[in-house]
Amino acid sequence: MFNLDFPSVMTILINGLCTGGVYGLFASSFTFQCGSLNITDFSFGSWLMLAMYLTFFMYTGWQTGIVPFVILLFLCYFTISFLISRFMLSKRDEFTNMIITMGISLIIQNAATLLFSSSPRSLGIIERTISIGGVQIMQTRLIMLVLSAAILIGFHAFLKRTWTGKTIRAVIQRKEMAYLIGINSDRVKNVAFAVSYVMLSASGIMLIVLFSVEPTIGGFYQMMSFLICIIGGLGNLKGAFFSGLLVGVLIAVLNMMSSQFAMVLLFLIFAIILVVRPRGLFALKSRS
Amino acid sequence: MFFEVSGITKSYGGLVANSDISLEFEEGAIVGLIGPNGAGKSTLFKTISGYVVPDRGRIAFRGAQISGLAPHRVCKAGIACTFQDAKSFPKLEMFETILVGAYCRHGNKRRASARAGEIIDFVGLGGKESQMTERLNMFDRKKVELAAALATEPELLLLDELFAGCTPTEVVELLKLLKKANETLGVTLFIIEHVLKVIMSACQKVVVLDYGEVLDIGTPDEIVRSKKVVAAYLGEDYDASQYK
Amino acid sequence: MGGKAKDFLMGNKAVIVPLLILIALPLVQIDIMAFILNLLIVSFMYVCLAQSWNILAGFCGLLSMGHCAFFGLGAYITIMVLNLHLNIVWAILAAAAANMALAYIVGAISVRVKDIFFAMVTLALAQLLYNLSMQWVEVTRGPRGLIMPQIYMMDRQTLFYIALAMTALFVFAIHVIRESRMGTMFVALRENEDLAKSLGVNVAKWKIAASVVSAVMASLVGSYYVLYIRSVQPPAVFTFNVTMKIMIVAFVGGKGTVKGPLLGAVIIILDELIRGWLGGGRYSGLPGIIYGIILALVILFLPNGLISIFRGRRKAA
Repeated sequence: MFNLDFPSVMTILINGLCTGGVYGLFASSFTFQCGSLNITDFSFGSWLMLAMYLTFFMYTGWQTGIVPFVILLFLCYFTISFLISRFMLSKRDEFTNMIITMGISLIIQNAATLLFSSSPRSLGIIERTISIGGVQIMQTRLIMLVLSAAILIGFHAFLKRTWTGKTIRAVIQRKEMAYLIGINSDRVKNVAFAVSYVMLSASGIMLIVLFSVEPTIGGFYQMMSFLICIIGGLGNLKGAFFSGLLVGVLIAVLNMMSSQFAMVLLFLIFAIILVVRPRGLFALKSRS
Repeated sequence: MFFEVSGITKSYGGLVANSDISLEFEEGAIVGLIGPNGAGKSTLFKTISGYVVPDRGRIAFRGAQISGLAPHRVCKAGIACTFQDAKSFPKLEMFETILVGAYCRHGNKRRASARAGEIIDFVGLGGKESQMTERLNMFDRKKVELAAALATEPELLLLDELFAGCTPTEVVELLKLLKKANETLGVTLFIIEHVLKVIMSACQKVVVLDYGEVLDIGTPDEIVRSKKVVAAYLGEDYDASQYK
Repeated sequence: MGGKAKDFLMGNKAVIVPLLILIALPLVQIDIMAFILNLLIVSFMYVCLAQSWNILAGFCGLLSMGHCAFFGLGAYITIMVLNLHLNIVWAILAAAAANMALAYIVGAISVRVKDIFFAMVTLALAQLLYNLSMQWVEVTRGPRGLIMPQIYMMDRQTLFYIALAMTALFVFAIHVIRESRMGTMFVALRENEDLAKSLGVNVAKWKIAASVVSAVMASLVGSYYVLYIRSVQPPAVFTFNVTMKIMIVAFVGGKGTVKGPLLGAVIIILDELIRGWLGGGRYSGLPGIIYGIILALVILFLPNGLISIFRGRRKAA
């Protein structure tokens, strides 16, 4: 029907899966904010866009070298988001937070237009492919998938094993209780928010390797993180990663079927899943 | 028969909340429902008011089957209820809360408002109409919930632990109110209560549940004398005379 | 109806003077009048959209994050029917009918899917329509959009009066709805759905009603948008930016109140003014930054919206 042999189909599916890994990473970061910290962050996509731009300029202009740049970017994102959480978001209701982050999003998006112009930019990396029995796997994408998974596993270990991670989990589960046993809940929440931003900046770095960036692209990633995070079950990190993979494959398949209506079909499927399983495909059992 | 429950069974997974419950009572009665925690009292109320669909069994009200109906249809049929965890509309004025109930029978705003006004006078909340419900004290909020339920003009009213957390004087006042509703408005009352004094002094009939089953049905006097009830619920050495 | 309108005006005497000034405004002949009228028309449109959003989100508690879908669908259907060279009335009715159908679905979904999950469904629906309008080139001409036939052009004064009348009608309609049985049912659903059910409120019926009323209002604004702008492109009507602006007007004014969105218009006027002065050329983007900062500041210091300034004063008096 599509005139495709088995290796070409596999090629499309596997590369879709690899792209999905990056989706899964930023969606996990988003689901952590939205589901666990109860902050619906509308500036998420714009920060992602900014990280993509910064990486782009690091490659093309600044020549700082990748390691110092990544460390610097992580530090910047950590500090800025900590300050935003501390002075703007904490102790306010959900709706107020939504509008404040919308304002931040407007500021970043328009600053990007002002400073970087609105034309799309891309690194234009020509990906090397590995061929296994006719199946062409793009090397960079494979690395992205592995990296995303590694970062998530690292984050999981951070939550499970370290002292800070444990206090974060305590605060998420019982804020008042944590307060009673001497944990400064608000500061822990701010730190947790900042950590999620480090994950965000990491996915920004990876996204620019694969896709082009323009100031309005943040809206698209915002939407994708919302939907992937809901489908994965709000607050479920693993669920978000796996639904990210799913969405990556889905987009590849839909593109194969009809490139014209691929996105229409994608959002139709999103809507149907949400109606049939309102709590997502991998909903956490503890939430009733 | 005015109200009849026959063979209601409901289980959650392996846990049986209600097992083959059957009971019935006449119009105008005040009926109590007692039993230890977890005996299935609230589940039975939720089944009657349509929030829980029973696995088996049938509930009939004035001869018509109401089990399986949606909550708002049960309310339209003439059965109102109040909740164990005292629900309210926090950001609505007290008057509008009661108006929501009054709209159940009257589509016209003027008539619904008039009805709401009557009910407010009836429960003695006059003068607090324009206060936000969240600003009222706990006792007034209970009265608002009761008034909203009465505003739907029910023939049968289910009260799930309405008296919980009330001081003895407040209990007396609420009890007076309920008796007045029973006598002047002709509302049949079905009450879940832990304060035994209420049950013993107000009810003509008491149903005892234990482990999801009906343990005994009878007058308050019969119930306190019933050996199995005393053993299961009140304790072996219970002296009934103190609640007379 | 007439009596109610009179009562409403008498109860809100402060409205009368600005209303008279607005009615007389187009008669003044000065150079920048065209600019002022355009500015007001745009803010009227957003006030109307915010009122429409307010019914769903403010009254009924259904956070719609795809409100641009109703607006955009209204605009697209209107311009398509106009391109068949039918009467404007038919175009408006067809748009409203299409929106009713969409709203019925959204309302039915809202019974099953709640809170943030409902917001996501509406978001997905809006994005679906956006992609459809971009990709279905045969019908929508894709990103190039559709253009209104010349014969339906109107002069700016007429358009201004239509916008003014529409805004007045919407504010009055919202006031009537809030005072009616429908309004009471809506806020009851927002406050506590379980309690509302137990008091005999048919949840599905009233949620669908809210969705339909809200969608028809947004659809009317969509039809008006076509008459005013004379063309429709997907990014102008179907993107999240439109929804965001609608929500911002409602929030900045005061969510869940009748008069709030009117005050929220200030933020749109501000936006347009800044853009008028600084926009274009090498400073594109700067207006958006200033707008974003103002927005964040307003919300940080007045979390209940501009309307809380007036409320506060009344309480002190």
